[in-house]
Amino acid sequence: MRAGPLSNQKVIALLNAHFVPVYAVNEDYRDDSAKPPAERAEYRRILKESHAARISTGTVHVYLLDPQGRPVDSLHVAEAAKTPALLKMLERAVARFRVPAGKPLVEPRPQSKAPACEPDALVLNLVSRALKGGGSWGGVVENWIVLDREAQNGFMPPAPDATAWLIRSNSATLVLTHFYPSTENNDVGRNEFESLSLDAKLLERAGGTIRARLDGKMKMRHSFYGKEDGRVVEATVVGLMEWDAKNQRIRALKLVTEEATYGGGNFGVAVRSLP
Amino acid sequence: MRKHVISRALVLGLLLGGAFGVAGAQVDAPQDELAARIDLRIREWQPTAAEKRFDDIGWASDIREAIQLGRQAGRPVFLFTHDGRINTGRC
Repeated sequence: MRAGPLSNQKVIALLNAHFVPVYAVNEDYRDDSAKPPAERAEYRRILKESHAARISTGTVHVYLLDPQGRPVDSLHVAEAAKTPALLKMLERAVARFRVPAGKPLVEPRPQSKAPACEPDALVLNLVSRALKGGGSWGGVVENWIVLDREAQNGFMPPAPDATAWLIRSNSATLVLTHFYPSTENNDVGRNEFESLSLDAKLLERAGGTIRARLDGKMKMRHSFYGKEDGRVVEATVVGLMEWDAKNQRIRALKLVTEEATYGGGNFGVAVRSLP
Repeated sequence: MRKHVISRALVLGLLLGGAFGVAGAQVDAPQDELAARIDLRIREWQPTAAEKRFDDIGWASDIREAIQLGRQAGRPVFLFTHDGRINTGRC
């Protein structure tokens, strides 16, 4: 949907001019989620009323609600992902509700943002891009990773005069578990490392900063869908890290894949810390 | 003979000093090359404007806000429910 109709200029123009667009992540609307109860209740109401009105209902769907918030139309994602089908649905609604074209009611803004975190945490932005050969949904995807102080300590040189050291496995895992291309399975808890190593080698010490080169290798089981399919990520990585020896934290971290394969295709991952 | 030995020593010293000097520069060059290579990959693999078109839509922050705005403006609401994180593409 994102790379298809929701990137189509005509769809975007219609949504902005005539509708109030909103998306809901199903995981955020479970009973044990952090969404307020009133918000979760609205989600349940819409699905219930859609079902009662004999409108196609499901968890991965497009719903149109009338200006009073009642569901009036819907499309299963398999249909909604076809731009002509979605356009037809939207144009039907524009004609029905006769809403004059106007500006978006919510100012468009970046939807992928760094999460809030503690002041001494390190925020990493990861992009994973399909390069060639298939094996994934293609395109580019992102992750935001937060390394708290404890996780950063896993990158710390073991002694002030260390010239080479291993990055602690559980710290490396926090980053490398996101090294896979766009697939249907985004539960990193299911990823299993068959092998993982990330080593640091001192490049220079200057003014309380330790600059190190990172080299790594990984083999990780990651299924395309939730069901085990035997597919693995294999990758070599290289990076640079600046360690603040005085404050005992990472000042900067960059990591990229040298070579990465999955499902018969190649992909690339780039990680950078935010200032 | 002595002048010749000194001259040879001088040349040798200059050569060695030059080699260390060159080696010193070469210690920095691989680091710079590595940093440049990493930065290039980071830049090249960032989402393009076309890949971020999803952000051109004025998304409401949640269902209740969307319904409230819809009521106020007399507009229908477009709601997409899904698994994963469409905002990052991991869906």
